[in-house]
Parts: sequence; structure tokens; C-alpha cells
Amino acid sequence: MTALQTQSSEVVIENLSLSFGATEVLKKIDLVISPGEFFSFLGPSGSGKSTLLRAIAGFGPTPKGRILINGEDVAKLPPWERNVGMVFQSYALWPHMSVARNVAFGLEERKLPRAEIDRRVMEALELVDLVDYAQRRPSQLSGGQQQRVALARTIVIEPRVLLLDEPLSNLDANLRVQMRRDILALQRKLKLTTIFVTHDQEEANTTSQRMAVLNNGILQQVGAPMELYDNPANSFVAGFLGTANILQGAVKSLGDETKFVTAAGLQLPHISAAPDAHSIAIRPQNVHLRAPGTGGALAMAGEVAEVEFLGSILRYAATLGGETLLVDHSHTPGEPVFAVGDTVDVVLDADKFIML
Amino acid sequence: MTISISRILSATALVVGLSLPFGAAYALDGTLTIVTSYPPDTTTAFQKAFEKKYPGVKVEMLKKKTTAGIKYIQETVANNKSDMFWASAPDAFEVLKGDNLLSKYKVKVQGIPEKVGAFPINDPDGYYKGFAASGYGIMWNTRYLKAKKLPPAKEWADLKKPIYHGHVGMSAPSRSGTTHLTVETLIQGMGWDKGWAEWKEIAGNFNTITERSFGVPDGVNSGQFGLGIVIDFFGLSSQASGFPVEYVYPTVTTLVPANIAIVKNAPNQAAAEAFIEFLLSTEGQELLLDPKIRRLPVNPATYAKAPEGFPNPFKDSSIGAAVKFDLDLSKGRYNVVNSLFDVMITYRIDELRAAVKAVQDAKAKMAGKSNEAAAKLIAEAEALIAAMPVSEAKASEPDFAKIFKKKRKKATTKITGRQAEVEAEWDAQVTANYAKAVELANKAASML
Amino acid sequence: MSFIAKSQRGPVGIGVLIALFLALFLLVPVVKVIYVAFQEAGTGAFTLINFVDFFRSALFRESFYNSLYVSGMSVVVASLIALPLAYFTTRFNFAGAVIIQTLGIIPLIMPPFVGAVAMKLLFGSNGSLNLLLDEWFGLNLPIMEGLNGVIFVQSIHYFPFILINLSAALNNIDRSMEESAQNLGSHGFRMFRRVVFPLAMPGYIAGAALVFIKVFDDLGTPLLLDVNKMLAPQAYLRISSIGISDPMGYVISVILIAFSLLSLYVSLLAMKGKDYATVQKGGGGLSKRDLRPWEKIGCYAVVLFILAIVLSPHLGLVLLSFGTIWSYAVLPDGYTIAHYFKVVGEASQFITNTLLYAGLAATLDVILGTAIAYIVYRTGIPGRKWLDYGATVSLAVPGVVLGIGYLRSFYNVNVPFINEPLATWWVIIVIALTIRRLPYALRACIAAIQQVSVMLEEAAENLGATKSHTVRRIVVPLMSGGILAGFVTSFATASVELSATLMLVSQESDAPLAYGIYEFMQSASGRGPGAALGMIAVIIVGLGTYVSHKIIERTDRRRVAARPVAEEVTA
Repeated sequence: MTALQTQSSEVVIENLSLSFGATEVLKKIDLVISPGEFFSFLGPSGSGKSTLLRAIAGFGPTPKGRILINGEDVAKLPPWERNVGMVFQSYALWPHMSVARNVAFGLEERKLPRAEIDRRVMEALELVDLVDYAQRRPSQLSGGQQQRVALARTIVIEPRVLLLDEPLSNLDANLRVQMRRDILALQRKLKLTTIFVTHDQEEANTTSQRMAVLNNGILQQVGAPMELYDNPANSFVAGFLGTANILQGAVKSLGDETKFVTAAGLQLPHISAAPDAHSIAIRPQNVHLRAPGTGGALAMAGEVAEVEFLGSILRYAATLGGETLLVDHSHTPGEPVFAVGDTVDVVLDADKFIML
Repeated sequence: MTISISRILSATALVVGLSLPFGAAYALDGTLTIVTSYPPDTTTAFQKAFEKKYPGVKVEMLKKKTTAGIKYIQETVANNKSDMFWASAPDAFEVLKGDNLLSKYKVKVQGIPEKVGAFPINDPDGYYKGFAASGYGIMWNTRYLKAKKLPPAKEWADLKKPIYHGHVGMSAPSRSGTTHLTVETLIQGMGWDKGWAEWKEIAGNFNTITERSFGVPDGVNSGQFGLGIVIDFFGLSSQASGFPVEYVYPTVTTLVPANIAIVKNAPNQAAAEAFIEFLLSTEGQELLLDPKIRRLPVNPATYAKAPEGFPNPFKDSSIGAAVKFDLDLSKGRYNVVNSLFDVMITYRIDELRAAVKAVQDAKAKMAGKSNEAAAKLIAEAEALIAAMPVSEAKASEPDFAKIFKKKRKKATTKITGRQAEVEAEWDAQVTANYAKAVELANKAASML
Repeated sequence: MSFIAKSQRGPVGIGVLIALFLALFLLVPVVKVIYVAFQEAGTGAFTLINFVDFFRSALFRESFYNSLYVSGMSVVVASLIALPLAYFTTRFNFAGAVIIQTLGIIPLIMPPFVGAVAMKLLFGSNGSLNLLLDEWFGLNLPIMEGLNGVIFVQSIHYFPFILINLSAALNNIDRSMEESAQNLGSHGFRMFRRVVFPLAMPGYIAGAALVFIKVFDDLGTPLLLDVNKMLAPQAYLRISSIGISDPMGYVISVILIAFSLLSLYVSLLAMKGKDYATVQKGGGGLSKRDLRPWEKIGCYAVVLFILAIVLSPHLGLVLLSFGTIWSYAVLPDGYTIAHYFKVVGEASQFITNTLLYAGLAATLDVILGTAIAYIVYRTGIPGRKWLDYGATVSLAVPGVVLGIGYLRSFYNVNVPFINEPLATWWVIIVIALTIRRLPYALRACIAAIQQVSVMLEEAAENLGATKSHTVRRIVVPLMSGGILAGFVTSFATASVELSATLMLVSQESDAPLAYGIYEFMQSASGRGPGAALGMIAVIIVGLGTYVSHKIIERTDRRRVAARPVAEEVTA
């Protein structure tokens, strides 16, 4: 058990905008992160996720709007007065200091008594299982060990919030999974409000209680991972979380039926609501290929354009009505596989359409 | 073979040279390389005039400080490219002559006397020729003296006065051939012990000991210090350039010729000879009167054209006649004197200054009072400052002087003692004496 | 594996040529001069007694101490000048940064002896400043007296070495290094002291060691200020005195060289394992912040104060070159442009010579520097490090020693066709300058090659380029910024070099500017024209430096643009 005192703080971001010169890179972000929550910022390169995280830490240009930590607006405070801990993508360990000195740094800045600093440094190193490495230089450690030093250095100051800026991107695949679990375990133990920036949806999905998807500086959607996957608010979220066939078009009444007609002219059968939807997202696992003539009444004729073997699934690309759809099919050994050029029946699960 | 050809050639040159009316140029060509310590004002004037007279010759002036010039000629002897050496200090020529690096030449121009002041104009052995005379004296900055409310010093002894403490500049004899002559002249004039005592007392008032001889006029000109011990043309040409400075010859001084010589194995012997003749001709001598050059011509006829107030050593016997300069004596102890000056004065100027100042202060306190004990202490202090680590006889001993000499005739020549060792001993003695002198003088002052 | 791999034969050949060049023009001449130190006077037998004499002599011990003191204090004062300038330019968005970078190099392009003349007129005991202080307050500041003067002049002349190295090191610190410190509660000067400065330490040490060695070896400045109780002047005075046999001058030279080598070695030790090139992913450099108005005023005040001091030699020189008579007065009596007219005829020869010599020397330097850097960092040739050491050692050789060594070694060597001794041929001046300035160019080239990833070369070789093509098409273009920087430093400093050239100029038509200035300054009427020539030198070399800087900037920009856009678009 650790003696580290940790706090579970609430972080509220209100109407936050931020510009680099004339370019606005964050646009009116509103966000509430609950105390003790593991929260992710997810988005592609250039989406503004890192900028938002750095704004919380106090780096970069001063933003417009408010950043409230436990009700205190920190938006105008310098970084050193915020007491939010950040782990940098490159770890930013100081090469001229030993591991112990690196970890002690923040406590020394807080002018704590030496004895207490030493005690807390050892506790923090114990927490990340690096006690034996205290006197080493960062350059003598492996990537994973450096990562843990960076974590220890940050949590030892008992920050109000823990910010992680793509902390796993410099690690190899196996270590990444391990580290992810370690970070999560640590967070659970400390109940520290944690914000995690990543472009990797798997990382976000597996760690976060909730996450925020950003694109072009605009907050797209906030919610639990599954909620976002199942009910994306827009085509960006739908496309960014998992794979989706996104077709542009409009809802039209054709005779007595309401159909979604795509730009290329493909008519999709019955859809439930959203008469003003102008795009539709269909997950590949909700599209099926059948041998010609076996698809049933709702099947449409198509042709196989590509086949990819991904291990547990076969991913086809099929053309029909001028559109190309990705189709995921569970792979069962021995089952016949369609070849490129085969004519097939394409069956869509209309009840799983996501109208956007 | 080669000898006879060159003999024939030089004989022909001689015949041709004599058969032509004086001053008319005979065909000369090639480059004439002159190693000289003179400033551009001097060299350019002669170069232009000479090239005008002998259009085929291109004169190259290779400017080196006297000491560096000697070094250069010594170092390059194996493949000599220099035709002439042209500088002030006769001692420098003596060194080159001693190293067998000069060649003899007999001047054809007539009318140049044997001596200027007490000094023979030409090398008795015929290796180098005097072309102008220079005397040593004192220059001062009038603005500086006015601001500091000081009278000008006209005699060497004046420079000892406490009022000049920290206001005087001079170069070191080891750095400047002309300064060496000044030092040697005074020592010869007053005797070894008295002469050195005089120098130490003067040096106690020094502001600076400059590394180059030109550093002294430069310091006086810019007002860095007020008075300087310099060769006349530095003072006169500074004045002519418009600086607020004046110059006097003290009574005890000597006039020495500034010289020129042909380097042994000169590549362009004919042009070198022509240059000497030109330098000594009326034409060349008159160039010396230029205010930027200001040297005293050795050809007495030239003075007829001199501006008013220009000193004429051949008429005015007060200039430089008072001391008889013994060149052999000077030569024998040349390096010892340089080394002594550096050890006792140049490198210990702070200590010497402190000692002399302490004595000056004690004496000032003493003024008008009588205190035998204090007077005795002051006298002791003065004696300590004046004390010489080496006697005149010893300084001139050839075996002793050899310690300081570069070239040894034979590798087997036995020498006892090394220069650094000897100097370290002197240094220890001198610093101890200066420190003790300060102590005694302060003690005397406290008794008053 | 007894013989060399095929791919290394070319570099080995070049390496051997460079080693021969260094041996011939550095080692042999220096040994020719200093062996005297180990000879018994008279017999010529080997002895160490001269070194015993050295340490027994109180004067030499004092000189040794003074040299140490002056060098150490010069490093301190130069650091005091360079630190704020480097700090302001790398930390703040500050329009003054341009001034600092441009003017920060100007002190290097003024011959130190010219600077000393001007400084005496301004700061001497009867210089402008003290005359004014005396009039107003009855004060006299002994700025230029004795060792103070040497420290002052040297610091002002050599501080750019610290500024350049320190700025480069600061610019190489990754921003996250600083941000993580801020994140943990540190800021301001405390953070600078605990995190930023230690990370920049290698650069600082490199600059400081250079200043230390240059000051320790420098001769011109103490001599011009008439300070002789230091090692370098003692060596010079003894070597160049008329006919004196004292081997002490050579003993001191040996000690100068040995001690400079020791300082180099110590600085290398101090930097060992501290190669903190922390820049990652091209997003380098500390973050710069805007200044609040009062901070801006403060910064400008500090910068202008420092610049006023640093540029005072130039101010003095301007006054001197336009002044009529300047004697015991705050300012010259009157002003004229006559001095410029006087030198304009003679100057063109000096200028062409200077541009030719310094240009050739700097070109040779960067060629040698690039070759050595490549051999040391990209090949496995045994003993390759010695090329680096060999070239760097010339830092520790005083110019006078090299000059005398050349005269001794090459006077008997006749150049074919020219039929002139190598020692008096103008090319020897170029070689001397090349050797003297090689360490500067080499450092720049090494820094440049260390920044080029080996992978880029491997990629080229993989695509079929031979070693020599890879060097020509990949390595050299990528190093171009560093190579140009090396060229600029070598060129600028070679243009004002005097100590070695003074010994080697054998005819006036071969003389460079610094020599011409020195010569003018030797007569009462020549001070103004000498200063005018000095101004011309400063302007020409300054222009050359500026143009090269512009070229560097352009290549740098091109390189930045070509860099793959990193993830951190928003960061």
C-alpha cells in the first residue's frame, strides 16, 4: 500500500478556444471530466488533442475560455502553479540527473524537507518497480523503464490531474499492452483523474471510462467507448472509431417506401427515421455476401473487387450500384472464399444502419 | 670560375658607374628587398624617389621591428633573399656583423664627415654606413602637463623628481635598439653604479615600459602618459604630425648615426649599392628634412635647406657632444645590460615603483626637518634600490657575457651557468632589496 | 582481416594525406622550434634542466600564475557578457535577438591589437571615460591597468566563442525538457540553473575552453598593453630579443603548448558522457515567450549596455579613423576623411591579399574539416581519432612558434618553377592560416556530421550510390550549414590574424590587412590611416560574414522545409 496522497479532481473546460497566430486550432471546447475518471482525447494528427492537453498543463499560447480544476480557473496560471502532472511523449527525463534526482525534482521545487523527499521518491519508485535503478542515469534504462521513471516523477508530486501525452507511442507493441495495463492499474489504485491523449482507438477503448473525439480543433463527441462506437454522432466519429462504410446521399420517398439514395444512385432499403440524414454508416460486419441467388428477397447483386485475409476475418470490397462497400466475414477454415470478379448477392442488415 | 666572373662584373659596374656623370642612372633592374624598421612615412618617400630615379628597380620594403629584422636575417641566412638592412641602432648592425651576415661596401659619395657628435658615422670595418643622425631626448605632451600642472623635464635628472611619479614612459632596451643606446649612453656617461642608480630612480617614476620603441611616442601623443624618453625623430615627427608635444635634447646624450648595410650574398648587389649612394646623395639627404621623417642628415651641406629651428649637430656643439661613446664596451656587455634592465626594472616595475615611491614620500616628509636616524634609513633604502647584482667588471667579462650569447663558436665551448639560472638569482636579490627598501623608507617616514 | 576493406581504401588514402599534411606543417615546424627547450646550452645534449630553471624562477612562476589568472578571469567576464545575450536570444521573442546575433560576431573580426589601441584611448587612465569621470566625480577607474586591461580586452574579443557555442547548445535542448520542469513546479532562473544550463553545459564548456586557451596563448594583447609578466609575452620577448641564447623562450612555448593541451583534455573529460543532444523529432528549441513591456525595456537595457562595451573598440576605431589629432582629450580635436584617402591607394593590395589568403585558408579548412569529420565519425579506420586530435592541437600552438617553425623548416625548401623558398612564398601564409584556423572549421564540421543520420547514408548506398557519391550527394549537402558556419569562423578570424603572418610576410606586396594596419600604427602620422584601414578591414570582413550568414540561413530554411513533417503540427 502506498502512502502517496492523491486527489480526485474534477476538470471542467468551458468554451475554450486557442490560436497559433491566425490559425485557430481549438474551437469552443466544452468538456467535463469527473473526479477519478480515466478520460481519453482521441483524434488524428492535427486534431488538437495534444494542444488541448498542453493547454490544461499550461503550455502553448494562452487560450480563451476557462479551465476549471476543482472549480479553480487555471487557464491564466503559469504551468508551475497548476499542480497538474504531465508525462511527455518523449518522457523528457533529464540526462544529467540520476533516476532518483529526476523523481526528486518536483519535490525539491516544493522545498520539502530532505527526509520526506527521499521517502517519497522511494515510494514512487517502488510503485513503478524501479527501486533498484534509483542511481542510474536515464540513458542506462530501457524505453519501458524510462516511461516508468517519467510516471514516477509525475505522480510523486501528487498532482491534481495526471496528463499523459501519447505515452505509449515510443514503445514496441508487446510492451505497449503491458504498459497500458500498468498505467491503468496505477490509476485505479491512486484514483487520480487522468487524461490520456492518443490517436490509437484501441488504446483509448481499453483504458478509458469516457473519451472525447476531436477533429480539426472541434470536439466531435464525448462518451463511453462503446456508446461512441454504437452511436457515433457524425460520420467522422463513425469512421474514426472502427471501420465503417459511409455513404453520402439523401432520404427519399420512392412509391410507398422510404429509401436512402446515395450519390451514385444506390438505393438502400427501409430505414427507420432521420428524414434529414445525408449520410449513412454501415459497419462491414453488417454487410454479408452470399452466392448468387441465395441472398433472399432483399439481396442486391454485386461483384467482388478485393479480398483481404486479416486472420479472424476476411475483408471483401464489393461493388454494387456504383458504390464500394467493405464487407467483413468471419473466417472459418475450409469455408469457400469468393474470388475477385465473382458475382455475389449483397445482404445488408438494415436494422444496424447508422443514420447520420 | 664564378669568382672571376663576378669580379669582372663588379669591376665593369664600377667602371661604368664612375665613368658616368654623378646622379645619372645606369641600367639597373630587378627587385631590391630592404629589411627595415622604419615607418611607412620614411620608407615610402625613399622608395618613390629611388624608383623614380631607377625605373627598372622595384623596391620591396620588408618592415620588421629591429629585433625581428635581425632574427629574420639570421633565420633566413641559408637562402638569403634580402638585399639590405636599414635601421637605427648601430648595435643591431654590430650583431649582424658579428654573425658575419653583412658585406663590406665603400661609399663613393664625398663630403661626409668622420663623426657626428662623438660617434663615428660609419662602421670602422666598413660593413655599415651612417645615413642620418639621431639623438635621444625627452618628449612631453603639453596638454597632459598642463592638466596635471607639471613643468616639462629638460634633463635626465629632472625625470627623477617625485612630481613625475607615474607620468613617464620608456621602452625596454631588450626590445628597442635605440633605447638600448640611451641606457648605455647614460651608464657610460655616469659610470656603471651611478648610471644604473640613475636609471632605477627614473624608472621608479615610470607609468609604463612599452614593448615597442614606438609605444613611447604613441603613449605621449595620446596622453596615456605625459613624458617619454625617445629618439629625436619620434618626437619631432609627432610634433610635425600635429600632436601637442614638444621635444628636447638633454645635455648628457649622444648622437648616433642611423645606418644601412648590404646583406651578405645580396641577390641584387648592384641595386643595393645604388640605394646607399642615393641615400647619401644630396637628393636623398634632403628627403630626411621632411617633417614626417625628421632625421638629422649626415651630409652637412644638406642643412642649408633645413627649415628654421632644425637642429644642426655639425654647428651646435651642445647636441650630443658631451659623452664619448665606447662602442666596444657597449658591444661586450650588450646582452648583459639588456638582461639586467629587464630583471631589475622591466619585470619588477611594480616593486621598483613602490620602493622609489616610499623613498620619495619619506624624503618629502623629511623636508625641512633633521633626523639623523631617519636620514640614515632613507640612505640605506636608496642604497638597496641602487645595489647592483653584478659589477661592471663582471658584466664585461667575456666568459660571463657568453652565458647570454646565442651563437657559440664551438659546441665544446664551456659555459658555466645558464641565463635563466643567473637571472633567477638576480631577481631574488633585487626583489628582496626593493622590499627591504620599502620597509626602511616607511620606517623612516614613521619616525618623522 | 589484415588488410583494409575495399570500401575504406579511399578514406584511408585521404586520411594518410591529411596526416602527412599535419605532420609536415604542424608537427615538424613546432618540434623544430621547441626542441631547443630540451637542449643543454652549449653542448646541445638532452636535458630537462631548463624546466627546472623555469619553476625555480620567481618571475616565471608569477608569469604562469598571471596567465592562469587572466585566462580564468577572461572566461568569467566573457561568460558574464555571453550568458545574458545567449539567454535572451534563445528564450524570448525579442527583436533585439537579430542585433545580438549580427553584432555578436563583430568583435572576432577586429584584430585584437587594433582593439587594444582603441580601448586605451577610451578606457585608459587618461582615456575618454576617465577624463570625464575625473571631471565630474574626481574618479579614475583602472580598467586598462595591467592585468585588468588584458582581461577586459580579451573578454570583449573572445566572448563570441562562448556565445556561439552556448546558443547552439541551448537551441539543441528539447522543449519538453523545460516543460517537464515547469510542470513539476520549477520556473524562471531556478529552472535555468537546475535544468536548462546543465543541459547546455557541454556547449558552454566547449566555448569556455576555447576562450581559456586563446587567452592563455595570446601574445598581441598583453604586448600592446605593455603587460609582460605573463607566459606568452615572456616567451615572445625571449625568443625575439637580439641575439640572446636563452632557451627559456622555448621552454615557455613548450609549457604553453602542454598547458593548452591539458585544458583541451580536461574540457573533453568534463564533457565526456554529457552529449545531451536532446532534440527529438525536429521539434527542437526551447519555447520562446513574449516579453512584457517592462521586461522588454530591461532586456534592451542589458543588451544595449553589453553591446556598448563590446562595440567600444569599434567606436574608438571610427573616432580614430575620422579624427585629426586625439591627444589627452575626450574626443578628437576635429574630424577629417583625409585618412581614408591616404590609405585607399595602398589598401586595395592589402584587401585583395587578405581576401585571397583568408578565403583560400578557410576553403582548405572546411575541406580538411569535412574529410576529417567523415573519417572520424563514419569509418572504422584505426587511429582515426588522431586526425581529430592532431588538427585540434594547433589551437595550442602560439602563432609565433608556428611562424618561427616555418622559417626554420621551409627556408631551404625551394618551390619548383617559382624558384623561391617555400618560407617566403605567399602560399606559406595561406598554409599557416589554414593550420591555425583548422580547429574552428573542424568543430563546425564535426557538429554538422553528428546531426546527419547514418540512415540517410545507408539509404543512398542501398540505392546503389558508392561511398564517394554518397559523400558528395548526401553527406556534404546535409552538412552544408555546418560547413558554411566553419567557413565563416575560419575566414573571419583568419582575416585578422597577425601573430603568424608577422613572421612570414617576406615582401610588402604579399602583406595582408592586419599587417598593413600594424605597420601604419608604427608612426605618429600613421595612426589615423591605420585606423581607417582597420575600419575597412572590419567592414569587408563583416560584409563577408554577413553574406555567408545569409547563405547559411537560406540553406537551413531549405532543410527545415524538406524535413518530413512530424506529428507535432499542433505541439
